[in-house]
Amino acid sequence: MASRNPFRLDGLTVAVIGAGSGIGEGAAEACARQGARVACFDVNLSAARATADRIAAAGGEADAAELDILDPEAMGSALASLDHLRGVVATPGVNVRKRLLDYQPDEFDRVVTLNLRGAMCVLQVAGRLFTEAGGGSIVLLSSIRSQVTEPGQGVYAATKAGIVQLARTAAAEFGRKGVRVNALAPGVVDTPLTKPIQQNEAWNSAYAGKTALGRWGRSDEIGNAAAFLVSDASSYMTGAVLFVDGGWTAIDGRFDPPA
Amino acid sequence: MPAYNDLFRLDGRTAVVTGASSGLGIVFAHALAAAGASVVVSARRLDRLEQLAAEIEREGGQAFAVACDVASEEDVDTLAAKAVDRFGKVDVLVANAGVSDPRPAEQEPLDVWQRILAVNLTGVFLCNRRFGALMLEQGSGSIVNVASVLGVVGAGQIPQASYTASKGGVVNMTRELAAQWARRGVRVNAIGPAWFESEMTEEMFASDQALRWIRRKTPMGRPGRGDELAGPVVFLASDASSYVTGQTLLVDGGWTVI
Repeated sequence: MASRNPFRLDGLTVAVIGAGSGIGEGAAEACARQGARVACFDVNLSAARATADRIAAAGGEADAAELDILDPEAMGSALASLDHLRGVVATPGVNVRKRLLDYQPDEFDRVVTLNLRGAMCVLQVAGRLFTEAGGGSIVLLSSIRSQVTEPGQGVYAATKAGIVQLARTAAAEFGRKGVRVNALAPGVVDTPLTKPIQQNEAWNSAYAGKTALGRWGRSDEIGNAAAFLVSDASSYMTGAVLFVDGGWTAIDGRFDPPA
Repeated sequence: MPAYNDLFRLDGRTAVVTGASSGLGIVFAHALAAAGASVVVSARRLDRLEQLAAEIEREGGQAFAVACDVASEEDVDTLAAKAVDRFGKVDVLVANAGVSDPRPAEQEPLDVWQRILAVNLTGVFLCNRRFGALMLEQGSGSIVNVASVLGVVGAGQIPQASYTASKGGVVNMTRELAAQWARRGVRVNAIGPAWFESEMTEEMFASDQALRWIRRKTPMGRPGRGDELAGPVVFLASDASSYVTGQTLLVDGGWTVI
């Protein structure tokens, strides 16, 4: 068929912050598969380089650089140096699982700083760049925890809900400049960060069982959604929260009655 | 990179689109065909469908027209039978047929309410039930229901209690069907468009005042273009969304954020 494939990202650059592992790695690979040149950023340079190398080895185009999501100056010059920058996907986040009564101030600060100030930093830096350029797509990582929680997830859940409202406000503020901002909300995903949970058989199967699909997600499945949100295929989507959660938030999964 | 971008494609799949005789349905049919699917286009008006099917075939796709009133159980059964007869299976359903008839609720006659619910909610249920059953039998399939932003927020200036109720119903029925069928290989999602030019919104788009309202109220500052719904529909129909089910993807230029 003649029509251009709106999912493709050929000739465009996508910056993935947090590309060194997990969902960031999945997003980088997915964007590369759609033809984008991917700038892999991570606080861990060798991890970013490993992702870029894997992409290059598979025939894609990628390079790597060190970047701390909490350093707006460094982010500003890193992003400004990229040609044909179309999208920024930011994935870094941290969770301290601890009940509210046990949470220490420094733990609270650590989670809120990386998750929420990191997202804010991306919105300010990429938002300024894209609004001046007259277009671009920003994808922030929220979570099912923006909507549902469990004991021990209070602070993390608060930051992920906060990211949703930051993204929605950014969508409202940047919309007329052609800049789209959306949030991706994964459910339970097989990543290095969640390995300890998966190694706990009861926990692993309880989480799988709480999804409608009955399984954990893979980072490439989140990555494909990120590539979709960066691409023209989602050109009228902004301020949206795309849950890629195997149906976690579609059901009340507290009890699985006998069929 | 490996040809993994084929995940966003629908080669070898059969897709059924209801409400395909006008507006967004035509866009969906073309988009699914462009993504590689064989397309069964259905609506009440067969003449228009045959024109659309011919157009798709001219562009190198495969299409087949079937007349169907989605509010009729018998018609939906016939549609399913003809689709299977022609293409052997159905992998994708885009339940798009919908009607609206705005008027203040205190003046909305029961027969108008019932007609809107019959097409927009019962029709979507009948199609989901019939094609869902086919997909469950084959152990795979993806359903995309066309809801609306009016399934999650009120309409305000364009009063239509029946339409908002029907679309809100589609949003939560989508969750429920997703939950019922997820472990048997069938995903069910919806899209929630805001204002797009279509036969349904023809009057609105002819009014400068309405267009100004849309531009003012939409963070992106403009209504949607029909083809901007194609991406979300193909994404949800395809394996690229393999871990997405029960969701309503709002395609609204930011309408619901403010």
